[in-house]
Amino acid sequence: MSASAFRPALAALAAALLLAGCGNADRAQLFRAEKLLYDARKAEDEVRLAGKRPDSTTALRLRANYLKVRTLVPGPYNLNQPEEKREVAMSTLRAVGVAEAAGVRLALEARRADLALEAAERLQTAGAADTATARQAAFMALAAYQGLRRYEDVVAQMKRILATYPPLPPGPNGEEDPVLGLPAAIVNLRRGLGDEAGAARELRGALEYFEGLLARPMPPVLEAQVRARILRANLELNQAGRALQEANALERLVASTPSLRHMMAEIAFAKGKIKTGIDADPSEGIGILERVAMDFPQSPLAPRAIFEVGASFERRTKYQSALERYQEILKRFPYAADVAPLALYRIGIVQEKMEDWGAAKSTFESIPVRYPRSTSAAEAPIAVIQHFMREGRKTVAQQYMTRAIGIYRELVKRDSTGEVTPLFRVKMFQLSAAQGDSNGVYAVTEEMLRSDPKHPYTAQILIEASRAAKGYGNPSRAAVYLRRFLREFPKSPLAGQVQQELRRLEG
Amino acid sequence: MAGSMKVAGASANEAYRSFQFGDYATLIPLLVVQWLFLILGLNMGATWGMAVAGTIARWIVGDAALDYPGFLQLLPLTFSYVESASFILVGAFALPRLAAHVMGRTKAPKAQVEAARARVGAAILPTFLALLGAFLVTYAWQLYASRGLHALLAPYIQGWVQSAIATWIVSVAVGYAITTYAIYVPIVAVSESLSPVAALKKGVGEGWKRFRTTYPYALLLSLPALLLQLFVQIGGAVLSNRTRPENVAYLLLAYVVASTVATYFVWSMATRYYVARTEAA
Repeated sequence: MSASAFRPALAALAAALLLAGCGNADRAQLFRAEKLLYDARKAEDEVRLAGKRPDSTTALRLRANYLKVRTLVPGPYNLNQPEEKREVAMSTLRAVGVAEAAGVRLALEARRADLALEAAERLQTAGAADTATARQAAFMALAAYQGLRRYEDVVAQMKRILATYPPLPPGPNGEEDPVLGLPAAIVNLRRGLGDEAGAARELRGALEYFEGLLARPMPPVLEAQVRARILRANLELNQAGRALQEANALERLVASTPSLRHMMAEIAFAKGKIKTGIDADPSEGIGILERVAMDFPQSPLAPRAIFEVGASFERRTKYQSALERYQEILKRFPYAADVAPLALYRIGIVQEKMEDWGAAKSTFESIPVRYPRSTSAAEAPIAVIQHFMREGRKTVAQQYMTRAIGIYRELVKRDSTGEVTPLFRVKMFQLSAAQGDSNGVYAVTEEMLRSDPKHPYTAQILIEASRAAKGYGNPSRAAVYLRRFLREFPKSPLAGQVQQELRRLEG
Repeated sequence: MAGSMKVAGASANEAYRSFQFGDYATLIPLLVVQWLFLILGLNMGATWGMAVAGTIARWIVGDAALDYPGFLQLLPLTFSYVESASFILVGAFALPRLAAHVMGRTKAPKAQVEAARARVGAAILPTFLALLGAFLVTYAWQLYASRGLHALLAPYIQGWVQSAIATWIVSVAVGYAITTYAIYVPIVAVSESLSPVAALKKGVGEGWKRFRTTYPYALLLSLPALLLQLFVQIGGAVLSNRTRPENVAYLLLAYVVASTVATYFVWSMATRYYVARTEAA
């Protein structure tokens, strides 16, 4: 037996390897993408494990690692191929998508929403053939618009997502598809922008959207989530009859699907809220809500249930009972960001109604300290001023305005880009105008233009500031504000009026 | 027995002290093949790396071996198969050649050495069969070891690492014992003019006869390579997660060098021992 006898075997082995290796370019590309993604993640983990939040330079450096994935694995990611090849192309596209999403997150962390938007738009084009990637890119664009504070684009993008991507059934841990949260997010955004009429309109739109979803067949778990949303929308719209109907439908669904037992809290909360609102004797509704707070202490509905009980007592002027319920929220759920600040504010109002002004004033003054990122923090100093005005103590009210401006200034300093910060600035503007402080008015206007040029509050402030400047005998500044209004809000329904006013000022 | 042990010890000592690169070079094809696989594995992002290393890894452990860092985390396992296959295929050519070379360094008559060199080609088949047989028996043993041995040792040894090390030690010790029976096949095949089957039979018989004197020295001479293998196999996953996954491949590259050097020492010792005992007889 000589060495030559093995040659055919070796040749066959080499041929088999080559044949089995056909189409490996795509697999190699996927491997490269995975490696680059792994390296980028490892670099980020190392920074984060050091315990510090990365500064913007570090965040952009980490982002560059993620961008290498797309740069070195540029596509095109052809999905129109036979099964196995398609799977490889899809995995590659998804790896690129994950890397780009991480890049967007880091760009936003570095306060470079412009870069985030650019990446999102690029991925939307590259990943159009894969729904999961395109969907991810759409959410990335949404985050970028939010970072850029382009509010109308945010709403438009959310509506685009709602129209394009039907909600998916919950994953193994029961987590809700973020698509289902978008209608409520639109409503909250409108509210945050001070557009209550718009919020009500969007709420009706949300209800329509969810009801439309029910027309299609869907798994019971998803159906329950949709029905829960319909229930919430009906409650918010004060449509008690329809809400009750929906609660009953949801209850039937939950009864027939054991995995939905956790939704009992939602149903009980809705029924309790409806009953306290429509029954002549709300005690049954109160009983239901109190059981929600006792039986489901981990549910976010627990503090809300107690709040509803407190509000019910307050409506019926049972102030002591209302006070006790609001205090219970602060004791049991001090970190419930949606309810606790409001409960503290209501405590102040109730104490004022109980003619304990000393306690009410300290309660109001504690809100900006305890909950500096809440709308209640914006309302509390105004509540104190209004009390002095109602009592006819105008000088004290004037003095308190100066103090209130100081409080708002501190709140803005704590979080200059926060969600509620524009509201703090609006309050500062209003108080400066009420004091006849032209410097204060101009300073806040400039600040709004710098930080939130597209915010509806900015539109409102520009018109008010123009009027104030005219009143202070400064028509050229008044004209500057109107011109800026037309530049920032050309599609505003007030644009015509503003143009006329501007002509008058310039004429 | 005491005398044989002494001769075996002297052979091991001689093999260790008189390292000849020229003789070791007979094993370089083995080193090259194994290195080639690892280097291709380090380049799985390139089409040629994926086409060869990827395809082989996929045959052995399935699709999980095509992902990053999955490929490198599974590399100790994948490589153990590649190592065995290359040892059977390339070793069948290299080991008779090594035995003939080492024979030339002993006091064996020149004519015998010349005859041994001439029989290298004929020794390939019996060596191949011996190595294949040893592999199959070792594989069956390791299959049992991976399932039964761990459970058998678990009540006596606490802790995952201790238990894994104990399992590895027993598994390798038995694996080496099985290989010891095949050690003399290429040596016998180049030393005597026998048919492949006769050479196989006689070689295994020599292994059986000299087992107690050969086995401890084979283990001893392979110790550095074995310790490196232990570290890669037990600590490979930790190493991959804590440092870089590529470090597993770099360690295996070093292991290949240590392993071929150990192979050289073992066969050099066995050849010297065989020649010494044959002369004495």
